[in-house]
Amino acid sequence: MTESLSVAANSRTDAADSDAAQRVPQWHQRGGVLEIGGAWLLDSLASLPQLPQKPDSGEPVRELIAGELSALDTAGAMQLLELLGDPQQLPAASGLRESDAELLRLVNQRLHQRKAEPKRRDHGWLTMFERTGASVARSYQQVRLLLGFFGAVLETGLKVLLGRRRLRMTAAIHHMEQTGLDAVPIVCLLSFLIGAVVAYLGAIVLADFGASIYTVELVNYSFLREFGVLLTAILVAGRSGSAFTAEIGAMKSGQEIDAIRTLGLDPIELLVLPRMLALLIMMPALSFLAMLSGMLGGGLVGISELDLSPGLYLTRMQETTELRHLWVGLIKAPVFAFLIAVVGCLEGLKVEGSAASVGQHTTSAVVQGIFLVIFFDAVFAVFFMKIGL
Amino acid sequence: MSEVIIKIRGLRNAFGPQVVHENLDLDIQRGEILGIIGGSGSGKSVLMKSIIGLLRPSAGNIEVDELDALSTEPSERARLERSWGVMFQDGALFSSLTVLENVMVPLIEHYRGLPEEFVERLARLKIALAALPAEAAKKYPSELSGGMRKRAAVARALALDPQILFFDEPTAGLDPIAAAEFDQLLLTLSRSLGLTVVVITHDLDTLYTICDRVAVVSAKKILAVAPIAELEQHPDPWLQQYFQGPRGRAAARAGSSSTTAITQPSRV
Repeated sequence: MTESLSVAANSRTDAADSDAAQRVPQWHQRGGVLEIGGAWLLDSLASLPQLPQKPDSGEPVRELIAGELSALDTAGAMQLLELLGDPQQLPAASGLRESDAELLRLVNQRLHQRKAEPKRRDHGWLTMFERTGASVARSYQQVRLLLGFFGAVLETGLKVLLGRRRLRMTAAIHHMEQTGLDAVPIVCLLSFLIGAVVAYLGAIVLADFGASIYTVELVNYSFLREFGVLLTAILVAGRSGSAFTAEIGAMKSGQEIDAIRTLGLDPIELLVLPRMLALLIMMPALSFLAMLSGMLGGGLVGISELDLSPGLYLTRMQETTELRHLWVGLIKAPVFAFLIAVVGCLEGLKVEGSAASVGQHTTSAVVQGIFLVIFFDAVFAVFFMKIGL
Repeated sequence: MSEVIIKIRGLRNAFGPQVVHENLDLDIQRGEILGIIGGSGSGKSVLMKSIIGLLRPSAGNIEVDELDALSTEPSERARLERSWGVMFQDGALFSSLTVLENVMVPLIEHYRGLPEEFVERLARLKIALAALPAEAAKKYPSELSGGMRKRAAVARALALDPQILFFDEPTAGLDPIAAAEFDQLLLTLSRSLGLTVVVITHDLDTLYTICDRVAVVSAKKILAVAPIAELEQHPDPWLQQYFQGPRGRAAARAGSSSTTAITQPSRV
């Protein structure tokens, strides 16, 4: 029988090699009689170039001959049932082992248990509108949530000032170290390098006008007014904003926030305010250091590339750079700190369940933080220009 | 039921100076449901991890279906990994994929040539075999209850038609009704698909209702492997406490009153 099977149904199999024939699923239908043999396993099915299919003209199978069947698993059973035309009742079988018949019955029963699922059609345009609408609604929700959280944080802050809530100094100082002190090297190095770059740019462009001495003003103005605080804010958003989200998010997914609430404590007082206070204090300090490093970087390039003597450079700086530029820069630092802390903490509190959620919200916190910082920096720039500062 | 499918000889596991297993031997028979018990920290999970290759023992041999389970040869590893399915404690489903996709992952990764329609049909069959409703297929793990997540994990473990299933505390965190249903599911699957099942559990009801034999991990070795009725008579003080405590006695009563239902595995 093996030979007739192999020749008729499965020319791929070498009939002489009975061991190989044992491992390959074989099937042959004649009239209402289906003969199967070999191993009907996931492994062997996958090795076939094409899965066994019911011939179009095939009449319904009334009898199954399975004497040559060497092995059967659920994948094989499923495909065999497909070949039988997914019958409600299994056809009469001969040579089928009891365990295999059992498996066939189980698989058949489970296959029929499933209701056919209605296929949902995707309408390209409709989906586009639907998604656009959903994302607009989401943005609106996000803004509302952010404003609400602003309010909640301010309220808790006021309560602390009035003495109705405690200020967690230990936590605040811990965060000051992490967000402030630990960030000093990277902030200074980055500002120093950008300062040098700005000075180079100035030296090259301004030399064409014979005005390379103005490089001094370029470096000092840009760092005092904009770059010092902006660079710091971007670094802090990436470094500490994300850390806030991840820390609070991990606590949220571990139900620690719920535990805080059930113990009658306030997560804003416990987790958000210390972080915010730390950033409010450390951000101006970091910005100040960034300004100094940037001006140092620019100064070194200026002195070496412009052939100005250090004395002349410093005199020029003293004559042209007014103190108000420093205040214009520094006044923005606490605002940016507030934005970064609020977004970072809020995203952390929005984390739900899984580890993937922590990652998503961390990304979102950094993106939103940097966006808000640059947006408000632009608003400040317009404002200061209008009032003539 | 006399053929050995997993054979462990002289297993030694140590983390630094702390020795977890020393010269541990264990035979697991084909087609049986073996429970593994032991005190917390006795190394039950370490034993399972050594068998499935997540942890490399410092000495000893493990043979699974006559293959060297410690082999690092890629083609042999692939064959080994296809021969077992593992369900971790909380399912360990991929949280960014739906249940259906979770079940399809091993199929797609191991058999690239199979048509997608076939893979999806097969995955849906596995979901039905794990007694999950068809609607669950399109859901994400976070949208499922704990019991359903465990069933989804079973469906994924069944994906490659393994011969052996490993379970790490399958009924932990389930209510008694869901736990009993889960036990029945294991029993049904093991009997009708001819699977060998290895269950690490503290659930005395599971031990009494489904396990053919129970292995006790204690003092770095297997203290005993025997049907539970024999273990109850074991003189070891830990086992005495284990089975004679209030929970043990209650489970034993429940187990013996439903023996008739258990000895004749529920045929579907």
